[in-house]
Amino acid sequence: MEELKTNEKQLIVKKIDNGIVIDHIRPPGRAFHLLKALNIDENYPHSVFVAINVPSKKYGRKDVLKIRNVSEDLLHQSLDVLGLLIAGSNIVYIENYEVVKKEKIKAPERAIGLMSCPGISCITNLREDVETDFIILPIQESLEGLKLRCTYCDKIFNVQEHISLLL
Amino acid sequence: MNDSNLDKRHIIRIRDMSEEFIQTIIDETYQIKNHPNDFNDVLKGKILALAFWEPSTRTRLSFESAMLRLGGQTMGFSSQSGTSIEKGESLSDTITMLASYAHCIVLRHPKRGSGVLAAKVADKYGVPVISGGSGSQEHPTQALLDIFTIHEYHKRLSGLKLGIMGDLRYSRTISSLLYGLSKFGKNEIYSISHPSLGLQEELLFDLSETQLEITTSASLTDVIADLDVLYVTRLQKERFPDPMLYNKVKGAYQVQLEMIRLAKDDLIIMHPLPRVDEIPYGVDRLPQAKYFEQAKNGVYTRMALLKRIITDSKQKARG
Repeated sequence: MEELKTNEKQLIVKKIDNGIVIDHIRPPGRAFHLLKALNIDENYPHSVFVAINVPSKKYGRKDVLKIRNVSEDLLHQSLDVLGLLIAGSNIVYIENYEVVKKEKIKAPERAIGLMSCPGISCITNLREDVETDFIILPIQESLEGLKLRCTYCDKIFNVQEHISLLL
Repeated sequence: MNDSNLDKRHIIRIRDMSEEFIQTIIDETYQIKNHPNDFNDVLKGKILALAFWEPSTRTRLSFESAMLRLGGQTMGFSSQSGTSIEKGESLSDTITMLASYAHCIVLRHPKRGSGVLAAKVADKYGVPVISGGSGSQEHPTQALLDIFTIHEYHKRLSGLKLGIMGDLRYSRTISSLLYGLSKFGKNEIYSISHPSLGLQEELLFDLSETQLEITTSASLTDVIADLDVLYVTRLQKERFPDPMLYNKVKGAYQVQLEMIRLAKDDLIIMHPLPRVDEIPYGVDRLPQAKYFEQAKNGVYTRMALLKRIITDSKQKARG
């Protein structure tokens, strides 16, 4: 059973028995968006540990997520959104307290129906029966985030600056 | 359009066209302009739908004239007034309906991406869509007639120096013209505009990978003597946050008669029209003024395009 445990000097999150760990989430605060993308809220039947603004030697600050007993189906349905948010991070799969697999989260080639277009004059923002469709521009995955281009209105934008448009 | 499964006859963005396709339209336009009566029956029995959500004089009427000259017929609307769009009908539903009434649809719509959506909808019915302007995004047929006009006077589409002046940010004709010219090798572009009305970031991003060299110029006077083409667009008062600012800066983006005295004899002055006061009437009498000939070329270019789009088999047209 996992629990938060303190000793005199630090707060420790114990290992989880089964589930996933997503580490190196940047920028700090992004973990909340990942939970939303995974459709995990207070109704989720298992424990979820969210660490925000954790010191990181490599990045300065980062977030960490530990989610018990997450279904692989749910995870795979959300991989494209995770790819938009944290391409380059790893999902670590845990079984019986042991790491059984690591999977690098990749940016999707296309983002279809994942977010609204920030182009204020884009036809997809009208009342039309249309799914948004974005191409991911071939720019290095970085802290600044991926650049997307709307296949309808051609708007180029940084996904990190428009997180609230994720569906 | 980033969707290789769609019928290649859709004309939505000049960015998607090959140099060969544009050259084919130019060649065909010459033939039609020189022998207009040879094409009287080419589209007999065909119907062109003109679906214009926004006002238009030249684009709509030149498409209509082109279709009639090819022996075809037109139908459609020139504003939302009097149609079901006023009642809230969507673009998709309107296009679905028109696709069963006509052999080809010309669409003008205020939203960017409207042409792409219309093409996807009409594609299911095998009906090609031609964009007559989609917001500030593109106006591909204007670019085709502009490129034809440049070729007609300069006999080449590379090694040219073009000045573009006015509202470059919201001008779909400027975007399409630069995308089109970028297919033909090295050309030098001098952009002259108020800082808030410079070229769109997306356009600059795309053109950075082409041989088009774009330089910002402070004033037309600085570059007029070197130009082969001066392309002027209308400044729109509503694009300025402050009407006072518009009144203050508009004079800087007007062609003055005395400037043209510095220009080369073979400079051509172009404008997609309508003009307001960025080109004074006095310039019309100069040999360099070609904007009315440019507008006339719209009929021949659109004849060439309609002939190609409506008579060609699927997948072949845009090459």
